[in-house]
Amino acid sequence: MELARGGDLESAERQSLLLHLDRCAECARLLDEQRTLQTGLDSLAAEALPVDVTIESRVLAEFDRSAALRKRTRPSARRWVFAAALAASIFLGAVWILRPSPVHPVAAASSSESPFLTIPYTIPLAPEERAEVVRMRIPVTVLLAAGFHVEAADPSTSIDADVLVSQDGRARAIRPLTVSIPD
Amino acid sequence: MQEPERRSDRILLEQFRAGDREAFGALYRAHYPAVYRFAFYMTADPIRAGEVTQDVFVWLIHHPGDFDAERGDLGAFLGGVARKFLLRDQRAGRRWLPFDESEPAFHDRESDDFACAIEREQEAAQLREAIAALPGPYREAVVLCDLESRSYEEAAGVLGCPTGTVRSRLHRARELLARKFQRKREGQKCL
Repeated sequence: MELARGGDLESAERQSLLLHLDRCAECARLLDEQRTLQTGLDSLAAEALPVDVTIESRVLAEFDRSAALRKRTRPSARRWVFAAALAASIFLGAVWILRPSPVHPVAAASSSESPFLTIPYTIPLAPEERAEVVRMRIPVTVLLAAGFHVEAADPSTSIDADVLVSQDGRARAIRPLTVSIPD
Repeated sequence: MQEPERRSDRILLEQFRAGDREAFGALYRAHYPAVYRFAFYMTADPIRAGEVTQDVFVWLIHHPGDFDAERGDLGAFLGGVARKFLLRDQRAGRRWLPFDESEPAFHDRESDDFACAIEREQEAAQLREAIAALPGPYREAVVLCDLESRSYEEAAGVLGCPTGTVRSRLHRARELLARKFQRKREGQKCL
């Protein structure tokens, strides 16, 4: 077969094959068949196959479509910056929400449960009278002057208190938050 | 494949992967004939061969990173892709059509004597028919080694089998082919 294909054969091998072919009609016939086949195959191999130019244009169109798609889906630098900023805000928000609550000064009285104390020498609020609660920082001396007995170590300090202010703008009652005021 | 061609393929592949349309076009033009020829002789159908060729290159567009230059050359790789498409078709029950004897002509008639050209075309058609009638594995070996002039190693790369298997398939294929071709020629002479 290599002889028919014109393949690489050692010269001694080639010589012995040729000698054999002289004596063996069957092998000579087979070689002849193979040589004919080889000629046919060579001519087929050399044949110019038709070029369908539409395939190239279709394939290139697919390349363009795919490239455009990749460009659309590839996030731009601006998108990356936006995504990073969003992630940072979410992180900071989570940190803010989950932060340990600050230690408040221990209230002498429970702020939510202690009652409002009517300020001496003022008219108490009527049940239907509207008022609002305003949180204020009030000097202890003011409370003392108003007639409260304040248990404060240093009278020059101030305390936080919720003040009930009536519609006429006058303070009617007080609920101290950081010191106790006995009734 | 020669080393300069392989190097050129590598450069073109890098450019194609970077989105260079011209580089892809050059790769297509360099490998289209071999892929088409393989598909053409395996399907015996020029239209289907064109479709398979298109499928192969469209696949390459969508899988640019799948080819590893360290494992062989691009031509053999694309041959392997074409073979997978052909096998998929075969499995799907798609019938490969026989060659139409009335349209054997890919031959340049102008330079030949008409009678001689007719005879050559008849022979070529008979040979195509004989190739098309070979069992698939033998046909692949003949198309790759004899019609595409690939080495045994390259053919083994396309077929995913050892070189020795390619040799033995080719040997058997040529025996069958010679017998069939001879018979067809003799039948033609008797007419």
